[in-house]
Amino acid sequence: MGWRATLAIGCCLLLLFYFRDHPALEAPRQFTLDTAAIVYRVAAAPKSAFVGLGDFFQSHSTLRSEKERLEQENLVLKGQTQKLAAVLAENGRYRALLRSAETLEREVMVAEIIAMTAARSRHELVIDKGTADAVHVGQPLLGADGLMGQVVRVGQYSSHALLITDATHAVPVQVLRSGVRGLAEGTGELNRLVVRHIAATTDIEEGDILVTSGLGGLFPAGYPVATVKTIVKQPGSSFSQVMAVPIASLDRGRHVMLAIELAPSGSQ
Amino acid sequence: MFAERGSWVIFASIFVALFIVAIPVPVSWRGFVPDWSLLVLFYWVLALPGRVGVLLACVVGVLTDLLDGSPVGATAVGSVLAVLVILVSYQRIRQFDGLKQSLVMGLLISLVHLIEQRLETFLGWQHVGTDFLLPAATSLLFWVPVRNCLRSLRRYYEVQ
Repeated sequence: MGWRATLAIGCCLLLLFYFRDHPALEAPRQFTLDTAAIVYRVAAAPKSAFVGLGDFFQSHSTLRSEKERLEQENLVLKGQTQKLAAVLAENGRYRALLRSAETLEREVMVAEIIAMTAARSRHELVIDKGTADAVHVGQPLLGADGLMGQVVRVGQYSSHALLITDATHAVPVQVLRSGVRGLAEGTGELNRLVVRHIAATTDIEEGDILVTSGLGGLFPAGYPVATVKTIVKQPGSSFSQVMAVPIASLDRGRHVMLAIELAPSGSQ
Repeated sequence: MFAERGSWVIFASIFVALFIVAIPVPVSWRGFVPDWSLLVLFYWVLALPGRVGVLLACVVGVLTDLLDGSPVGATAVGSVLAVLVILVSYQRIRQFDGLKQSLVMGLLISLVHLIEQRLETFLGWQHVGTDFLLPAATSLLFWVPVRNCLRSLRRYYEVQ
């Protein structure tokens, strides 16, 4: 009994501290990740079936009002896109005038959320795209409204993405209005981010929108991250405590987008 | 261990427990989900200490880690130690009534989580507060139903 326990614990510690990121175990790691994704899919099957049944039996009037809403939304979005094209062109001209660096054009790939992992202390999603779809570690994850997180582990047909609210996650941000930079850190709560390194005299207000600043090179610049909720300025402290609420709905929705980096497109 | 009568019941119950762990729950409930796989493991160790031991504990721990994406081995170390405690004192734990047994299981599960939390912190994960001990409290409530259910399974399939 004793030697078996010693052996088992020894193996575990070896796995934990030596083989954790060992390249030799990449294939089994990907295999187990994909297998776990299948387990999550099967475990979620009753719930998905239930939701699907609900969708199926939705009444005619509900569907019609939904369709009307979507049509209106589509019209508004189309209008906004037209304006966006004009703004992009204008922006490109300004960049050319300023001789500033080339911007990176990005496209997105849609992925489906399979589940949130069972690790309670962690905010991690399982999504249904992996290396077979050219997903890579560090790839930004976007929701419909804003930044959601980044890919941390990839399997062949599934991957895990860490949300911005996880206690170990941080994203470089910028206040949209004033351009002030900071670092939005996760707190482990799904509706709260804390923004670090904001001096007490900085121009920041409640309701300000924080967007990714692009510093650090991981996240593309300009995606909305959070809205500033409270600012506490303590006398004597040279930094203010800034709390923000993520803009993307992290616990809702079934689809996410993975940003794909394309070759530099020059000034548009 | 594999060839003996009714081994499949043990493995099947553990797999079912792992599937139950993976069932999606609302985010606000996540902290309260009991550790089904550990409860099932502890039952089998308590019932068949000569047959189920630290190796199965290690396997269950590793599978749990693989499933929830934590560093592989973090739960396994704790579950091996907890199972060692049961192996050393199973005769005494068997004599306890339901309430006392539940308390023991709650303690063992919090031991597993404490060790897991320590190891994960070494590896750079961050735990906020003492919420990681909540599942021990909810698992404790489910020990008696799980035990009774598995006991009738064991008797029905004559796993000895």
